[in-house]
Amino acid sequence: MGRLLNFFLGKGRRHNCAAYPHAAALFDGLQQEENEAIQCVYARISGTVVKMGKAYGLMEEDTEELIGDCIALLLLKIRTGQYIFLGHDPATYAIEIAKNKVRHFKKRNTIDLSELPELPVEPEYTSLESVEILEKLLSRLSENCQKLIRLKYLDEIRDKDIIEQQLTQYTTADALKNHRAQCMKKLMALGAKH
Amino acid sequence: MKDYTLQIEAYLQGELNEQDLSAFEQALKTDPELGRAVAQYSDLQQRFVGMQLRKKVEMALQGKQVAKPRSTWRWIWSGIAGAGLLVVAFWLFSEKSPISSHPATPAIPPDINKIAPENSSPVPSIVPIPSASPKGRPHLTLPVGGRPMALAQEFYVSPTGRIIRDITEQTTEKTILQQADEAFDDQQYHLAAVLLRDDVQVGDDESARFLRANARFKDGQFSAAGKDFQQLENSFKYKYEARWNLLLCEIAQGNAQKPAVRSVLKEMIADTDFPFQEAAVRLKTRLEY
Repeated sequence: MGRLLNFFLGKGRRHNCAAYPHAAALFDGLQQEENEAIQCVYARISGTVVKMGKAYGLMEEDTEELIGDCIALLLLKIRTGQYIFLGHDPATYAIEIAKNKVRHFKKRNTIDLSELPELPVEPEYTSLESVEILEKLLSRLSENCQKLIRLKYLDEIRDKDIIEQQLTQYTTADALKNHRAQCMKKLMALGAKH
Repeated sequence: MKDYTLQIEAYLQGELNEQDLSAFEQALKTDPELGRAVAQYSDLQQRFVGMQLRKKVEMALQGKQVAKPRSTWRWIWSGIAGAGLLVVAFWLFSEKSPISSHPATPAIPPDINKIAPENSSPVPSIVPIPSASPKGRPHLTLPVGGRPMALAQEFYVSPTGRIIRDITEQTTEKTILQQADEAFDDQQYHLAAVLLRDDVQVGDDESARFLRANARFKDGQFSAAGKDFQQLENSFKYKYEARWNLLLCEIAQGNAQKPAVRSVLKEMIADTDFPFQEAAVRLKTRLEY
């Protein structure tokens, strides 16, 4: 019964695009980083990227990673203003990112490179590998340091709120900033060793 | 090199005052090591943004698998299965409304907000970044009717007064729940949702779940909010708000035209005892059913 209702409610793979009837709405949703907008892009690009991945000989898990990379990179480009809305479908842009990435993958894994054009290398900050490395480095810091960094850079909570809500042991913003700066310094030192 | 670590963050975030900025930039010109440290710090910050977005995507796609291109036979079988489902659906919806399980109040169908098997993982433990309206980011104006989310926000019923009652100002160490309640009261919905991200913080406490549901709703996390509201639809204390806001969560996710959602709204309108009956009538008009 539940599955049937889910079916009628469109809770399947392609359900989330109903909230985004046109490209501007989808762009707006992505700009707000709404889960539903991300799911909509996923639904719109996954079929094409899978075909692309197969054509380039990617394993299924690589294709999944590629889709995640593309969507995260799309969000990054929107957030940093590198991609602005000019009337085109953001999903098409995500597919273009996938094409670039898959070509680089091919370039890394094949001997004959002559047929492939030179392409600009996309920033790798959103790649799974980069995220895993950062997680590993973070885990080497003290719990307090991890907390300070996560609150600021991952949860995006303002210092003022961290102090007011007593989320850490620090009672002033200056003390908080000072300790976090030391934690970042340690993290950078760990990163340099890596 | 002097330890500039504290200033680097302030510099990158544009928080240095004119005098400090001038001194810092002067040091940047003369100290190549400082330049490298700034570049390294900036790189690290960008990596955090990348990590945050990657986790956001992972969370949004939790449980989803890559869609494989369908073979001809799969299309045929899908067609047969679809036809079968349509027959069953016709039988279900024509015989009796599947929704009302509570004679006095219109109830949301038990499965209205359950996610399909591929999405069946519990409420995500990773907190999403603000999805409602992150500070400083422009918001496009879209045509009326194009954004179900705006409609849901318009009809949303917020809690009256504080949800968590036992807060004493004198308490030296506040619990996470108390902190979240305060954050919600201060309209810091993202913070409230962050504080209650772990199910452990909520447990069986209906007030905590209600608080989290409302924080998530206000933060634009409609899917997660819907899951929380759904768990409260039989709550003695919160059932009416939970059912109403659960309906709004569905609408926010673009499901306004789905038969089950329309049916729930219809029953809410028909029930004169339902506290949000008038709002339901207005909502129906706005949805142009």
